[in-house]
Amino acid sequence: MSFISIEFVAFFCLILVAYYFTPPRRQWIVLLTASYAFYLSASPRYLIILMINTLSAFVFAKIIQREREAEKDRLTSFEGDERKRVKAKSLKKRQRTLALSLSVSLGTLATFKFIFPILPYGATGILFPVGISFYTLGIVGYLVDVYRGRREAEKNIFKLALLTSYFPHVIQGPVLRYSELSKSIFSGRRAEWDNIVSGLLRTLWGVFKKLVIAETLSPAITELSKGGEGRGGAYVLFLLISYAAQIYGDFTGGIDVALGVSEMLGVALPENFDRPFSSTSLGEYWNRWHITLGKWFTDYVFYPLSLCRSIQGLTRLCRKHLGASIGKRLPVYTATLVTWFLTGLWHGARPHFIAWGLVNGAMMLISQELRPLYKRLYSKYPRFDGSLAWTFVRRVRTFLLIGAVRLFDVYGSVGLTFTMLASLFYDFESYQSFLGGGAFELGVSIYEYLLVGVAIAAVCLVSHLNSRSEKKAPLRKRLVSRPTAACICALLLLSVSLLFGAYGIGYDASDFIYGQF
Amino acid sequence: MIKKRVISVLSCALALVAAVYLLTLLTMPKYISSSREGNLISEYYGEVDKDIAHQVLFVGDCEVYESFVPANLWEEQGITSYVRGSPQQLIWQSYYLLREMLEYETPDVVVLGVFSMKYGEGQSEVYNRMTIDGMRWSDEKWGAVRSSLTEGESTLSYAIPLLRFHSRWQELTLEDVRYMWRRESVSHNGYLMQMGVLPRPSERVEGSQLIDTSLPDICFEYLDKIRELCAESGVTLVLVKAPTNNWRYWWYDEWDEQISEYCESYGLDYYNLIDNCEIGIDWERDTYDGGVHLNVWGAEKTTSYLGRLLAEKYCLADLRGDAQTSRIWQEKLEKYKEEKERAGQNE
Repeated sequence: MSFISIEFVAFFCLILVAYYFTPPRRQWIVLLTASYAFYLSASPRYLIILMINTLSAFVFAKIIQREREAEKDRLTSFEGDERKRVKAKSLKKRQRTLALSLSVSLGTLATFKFIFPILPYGATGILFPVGISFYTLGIVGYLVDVYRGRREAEKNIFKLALLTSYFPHVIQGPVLRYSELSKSIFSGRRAEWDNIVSGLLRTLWGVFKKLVIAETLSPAITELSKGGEGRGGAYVLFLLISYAAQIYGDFTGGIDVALGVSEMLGVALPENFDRPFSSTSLGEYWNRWHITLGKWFTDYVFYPLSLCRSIQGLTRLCRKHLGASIGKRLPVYTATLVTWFLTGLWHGARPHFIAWGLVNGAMMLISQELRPLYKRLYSKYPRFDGSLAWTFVRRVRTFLLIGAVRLFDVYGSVGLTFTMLASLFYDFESYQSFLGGGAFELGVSIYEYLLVGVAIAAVCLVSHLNSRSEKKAPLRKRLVSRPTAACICALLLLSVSLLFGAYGIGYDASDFIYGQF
Repeated sequence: MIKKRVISVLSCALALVAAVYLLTLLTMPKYISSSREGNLISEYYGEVDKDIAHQVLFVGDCEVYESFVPANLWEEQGITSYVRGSPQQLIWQSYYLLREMLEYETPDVVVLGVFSMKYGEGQSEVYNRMTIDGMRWSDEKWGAVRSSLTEGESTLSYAIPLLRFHSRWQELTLEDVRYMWRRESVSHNGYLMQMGVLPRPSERVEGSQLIDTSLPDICFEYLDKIRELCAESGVTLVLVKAPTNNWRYWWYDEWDEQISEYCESYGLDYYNLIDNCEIGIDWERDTYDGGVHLNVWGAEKTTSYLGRLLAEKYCLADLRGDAQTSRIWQEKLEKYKEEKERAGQNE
């Protein structure tokens, strides 16, 4: 069952009614039932894997917590070195349990993501379980948080089952932290006009972005992603820009649907995007794009890695032999590259994903190294810093750099990506062919390009209005107090999506790009 | 505040229904300047709304609506008739259409074209739409939809055609606005006039060898249903294979034998008109597409032959003496002749 389907609309309406007609204390049971039903419809064969992962997380978290409590009890009867010995022993035990628990969750993910795809014929028919990448990150975060003592282990396995399977996030995120989700998902609530209207508007906005922008551009991107002769130069530039629009529409649209649906249920999910294309630097971009994934990798990979003993030891060694400057940079650089490598790997065990991760990491480091240069520039020409024109240039630069790296994903081949990118600088004939009408021979008509242009302008306008009201509320929140305006907006969004959206025969509007990860 | 919210939500829901309805009317193909056959199914309701009953109902695919001319049947035999056919109309679609027609009227004879018996499953979404979209909402339409869906089609898109035709927003023309609410008749009681002449290839080319010579079981199941339906309504069912002569749409002897056997076992009449010399089809002049379908002259010849048969064998009354019926049908006949003349001048 996809978010963009009539089945989902019917399913959700049913859930919404059942949810608000259930006493608040028991509402989470409705959500659990709905989530398992949703997962069953999306990936029936792999529901058992989700259940095993949940059970394993429940048991191991309990063991870790029990060990921590036992340690506390034991420590009261020991002092001095004996106390340290008991502490170390307990820590080791907890570490072993954590390692075992992580190997179950990450092992399952790795098996489906990395091992099955490379097996010879026979095993390649195994489908990728829906949402496994997202719930695995959630489970790992939960286990590490329990290990670190940042949260209690869940006492009720069914409640943990809801956290791992909560249906709005199962298709393509956001990556959830169970400690945050627990606060709103188990509190129960009465139906509130504000939540329902605001959530509905957000859902429709997501559908609009997905159907009108992402899906309309899809034929051109599919055509151009084949690469090869006659598709270089101007076409690569066009692909870079149009894919940015497509993935923005697809991914943010899907997340809007997930967050909107959850908002209607009164459950707040974390924001995953914050006007990413307004970023003036790579670092800023990655703080605004797929925020929950970035934060997860920062908290559970980057920081632990930077602070781990072996990296610290290496730092000391480098400081001693290579100087303070290199010694200072080494842990950060190593952690950055490893984090980006793992981020790439999380997307898939294919060379282009790993290249995407490493190039991103390298660019982040280069950008960091260039900082002093920019600082000098700004001190020499202070009017430069913060000027509109320079901000614009920085935005365009960031957009193009990120877009260029994203082409690894589009072409699906490292070699082809470099070849096509290089053609930007020598295939000048392509510019002539493109300007001579080549763009209209890619399965997208001039009207559709115009439509996408208007839709993007609408997205920019809404984004601008939202950004101007940061201290107030986003546009949709302000609309809820005006029922007529809210209804007109909902009607307009739905009508426009129904009429102009690219769906039905010849399209696959039900799939989201990030659903494959 | 609550009252205002309730009013807003209800108004919004109503406005949504209205918007979807209007957009559906706008985006649905009008089948006026091209693919006129897409209008044939819905034109029948014009007769229903005027309470016009028929002695003979023809049901079937393109062969039927290109081979039998109700105006001609009236002129020569005084028999009233209607052709309910559409492009590649499958046998189960014919069943549901007939079931729907029998809700409105009880003819003396139903003539069923058998060419579609060769198709055991939905063939084309385009033809499905041309047949089913024209039906009014009823159990019969629902049945036709469920039995006809091809890959990628959804039942919902038949209930809300906007879901299928929304992509036409790029190709909308003034014609789509002009015909949002009304249609001009494109047929003559279901007969679609074709004036062109394209002789069949001089050498009669045999079709490729059939691997499986049996007609699909599902077609016989629906033929059974049609037979039972006619029997329940007291209507005589006659099966017919219209004259065609094109190797791409060959009617094989093996198929013909199966139809003959079926008719024999149930006491039905079956007429294969392909090689019937009495009709006098001239394949150099009487076809507009190389022998796949008949043009108006071929259709008139075929109708004359079948008309004589219907009048003699099934004792259908000559209604030319009935003043009211005569008035209606004279009008139809004149319209038919006018178009034939006009089209003839344009050819």
